[in-house]
Amino acid sequence: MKKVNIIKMAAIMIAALAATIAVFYYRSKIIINAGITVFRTLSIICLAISIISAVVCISMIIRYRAKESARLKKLAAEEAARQEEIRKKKEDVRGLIRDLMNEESGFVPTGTALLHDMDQIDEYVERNEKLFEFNDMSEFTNMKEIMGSVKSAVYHNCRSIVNLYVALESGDEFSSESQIILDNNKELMNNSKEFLLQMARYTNEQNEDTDAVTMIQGYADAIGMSLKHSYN
Amino acid sequence: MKKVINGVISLALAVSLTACSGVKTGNSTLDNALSYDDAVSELDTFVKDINPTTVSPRLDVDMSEASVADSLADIDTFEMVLTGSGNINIEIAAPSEFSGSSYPDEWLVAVGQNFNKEGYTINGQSVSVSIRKISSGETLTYITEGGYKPDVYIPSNYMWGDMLNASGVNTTLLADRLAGNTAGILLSKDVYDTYSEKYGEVTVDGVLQAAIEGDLVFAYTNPYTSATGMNILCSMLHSFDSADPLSENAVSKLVEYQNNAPTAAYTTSILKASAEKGIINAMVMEKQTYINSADLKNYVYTPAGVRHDHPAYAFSWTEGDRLEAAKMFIEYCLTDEAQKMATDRGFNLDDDYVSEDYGMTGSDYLSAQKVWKTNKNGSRPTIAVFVTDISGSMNGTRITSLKDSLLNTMQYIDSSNYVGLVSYSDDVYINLPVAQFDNTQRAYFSGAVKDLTVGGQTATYDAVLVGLQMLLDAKEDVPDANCMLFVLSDGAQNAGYSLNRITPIVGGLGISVYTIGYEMSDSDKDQLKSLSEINEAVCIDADSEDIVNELRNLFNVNM
Repeated sequence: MKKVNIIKMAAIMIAALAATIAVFYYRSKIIINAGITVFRTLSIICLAISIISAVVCISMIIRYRAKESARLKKLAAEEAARQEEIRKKKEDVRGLIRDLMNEESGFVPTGTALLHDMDQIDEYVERNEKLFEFNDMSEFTNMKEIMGSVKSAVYHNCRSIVNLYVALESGDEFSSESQIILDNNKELMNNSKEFLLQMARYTNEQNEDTDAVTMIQGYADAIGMSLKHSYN
Repeated sequence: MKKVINGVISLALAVSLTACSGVKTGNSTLDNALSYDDAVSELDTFVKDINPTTVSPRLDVDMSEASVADSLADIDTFEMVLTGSGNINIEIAAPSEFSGSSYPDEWLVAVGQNFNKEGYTINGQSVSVSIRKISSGETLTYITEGGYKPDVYIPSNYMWGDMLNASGVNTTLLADRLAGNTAGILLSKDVYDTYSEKYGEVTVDGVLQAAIEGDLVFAYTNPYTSATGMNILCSMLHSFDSADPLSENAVSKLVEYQNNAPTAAYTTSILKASAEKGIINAMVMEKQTYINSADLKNYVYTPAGVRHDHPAYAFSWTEGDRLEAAKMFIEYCLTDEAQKMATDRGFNLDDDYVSEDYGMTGSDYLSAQKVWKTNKNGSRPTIAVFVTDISGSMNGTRITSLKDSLLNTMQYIDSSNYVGLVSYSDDVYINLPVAQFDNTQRAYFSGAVKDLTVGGQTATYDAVLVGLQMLLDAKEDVPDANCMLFVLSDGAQNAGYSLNRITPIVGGLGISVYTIGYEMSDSDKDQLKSLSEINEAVCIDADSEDIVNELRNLFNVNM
């Protein structure tokens, strides 16, 4: 459905409406000069064309908008899929690490440590989800996503180390820079571990152990700080 | 896109064709007549455009009653078809069936010419005859009201002689038959066959019954002027009540019949024209006219009523040598040679036909005319609008004649009718809105006519449209009324809308437009004739002198 066809039909409709108005405006003159039959015929033709072209025009516009909407949705879906693909590719840190370990033997130790950290945090996330699933954690709903954020940060750190190695390869500079990141990972892991522990304590002694709440909050705050370090 | 556009155009055309196909003509004899509703719509548009001016009518407090004599033109408006030159020259008033100008309607003229050549004398003085062509009814009117004194009166039948005597004019019967003839009923062949099957013999009674049943449309002529019309009228009344044709019973049946009957025809020619168009399929006519009309071969003639044997009457003022001369001429008419001439021309047929006996006297015949005048439209009144030309060419004797003729003939308009007046030159003026023609309206009409002033061009058809609109407006208050328009003009339209343009409207409305034109050229006459023929009305060609006669007869028939 081309836009130009809609414009053409709209032009026909406007012209027919204008003609209809003109026919009724000059009704007397037409009847006197050409007769009432001519007037009736003209008015019917103009009205008919006006109505029909209006209906057709509206229908064309509706169909055009539906098609356009579908096209845009499709484009958006494709873009989303593409972005998702890119994101997934970006997020396939494990894949990156393994690929690099395969290509660069010097990266194997670092890579092994990174894989371990990723496995560890995945496990922490799973434990966190189970805790929230099986217990009443309504008081800590806003903290449910903390472990997810930690995971993102750990993965982000691991990717950063991969990028560092690609940029710097093995050497002192790589070692010093990557160590900073590895330390951050360790900090995150430890805080997460303690966070989970306190969460578990809370679930066991709800409403009775105010210390657990305090501890949980404390470790949440600590995680928050660690996250800041990660993204700085 | 092209398909869409083509589809739109096709649908629009289909819709418009469907809309147009419903348009039906309201006038079956006019090809391009509009439907009634379309004609009303177009008329409304035209009249708004014409925008007539309404003039406040003046009440004519000095209005005087015109006499019948005032409504008579000079007797010389009736042609003298034979002028004798003898010392004793008698004048004969004779009807058109044998005082015409050409064969076969000139029997009496031919006999008179022969008579004049014979060189008869009385007491040494040469004798001759002059013959004036004038209908039986007009002669009666001119004698009783206008002081006309012919030496011999030869009406179509004896009813007129009886009416003269009843009016106080003594007559002497010179002969009860000069040329034998009958009046009768003409039925088209198809109608005759259908009629015979259902009703049997053709009689006035049977024909009336068939007309009431809707099996035929029967028309007759003006009984004031036409002997045939008068004959059939009395026959009708007699059939309604044979014991007393003027009883209330007979009159009420006449009213009932006339409610659905066509208007009486002005002349036999009008009847023939209507029959040709298929508007009527039964009419009255004299045998002699029928036998000499080639275009009526598909009609079956049956004599009815009284015989039309043309009796001859003399008067008290026809005395001495003049009476002698009259008798001499009558004897001449009865010679074998003269009678053979009559037979050759279609007279003296149906000799075995015996007149019906109505049991009516001369006074009864006069009363029958009045009964007809009052009840000719049944219980339906007439709404009439007069459209008068006041263009510059009407200046002088024409406008004077127009005014006099309207003022003198308004006495023939019954007070049960409704009348309005329009005048026109460049523009159209409503001089008198339509209202019932009581004394007040008569006074206003008189005032409006007297106040007509001339000047400008001739927008005839604009005025016709305005007159038609006035009729339609008035008919809303009187739905069962007959509507008619009378156009009085001396010339062709030279301003405003043309005849071609208004013809479909006039045809669609179906309103009779009577045109009275005087002192017109042939082309002007053709236009007015065309206008009147749209709805089978009459175009009267009159000069200023006989316009009053024409209006009188027109009003007697229609108003």
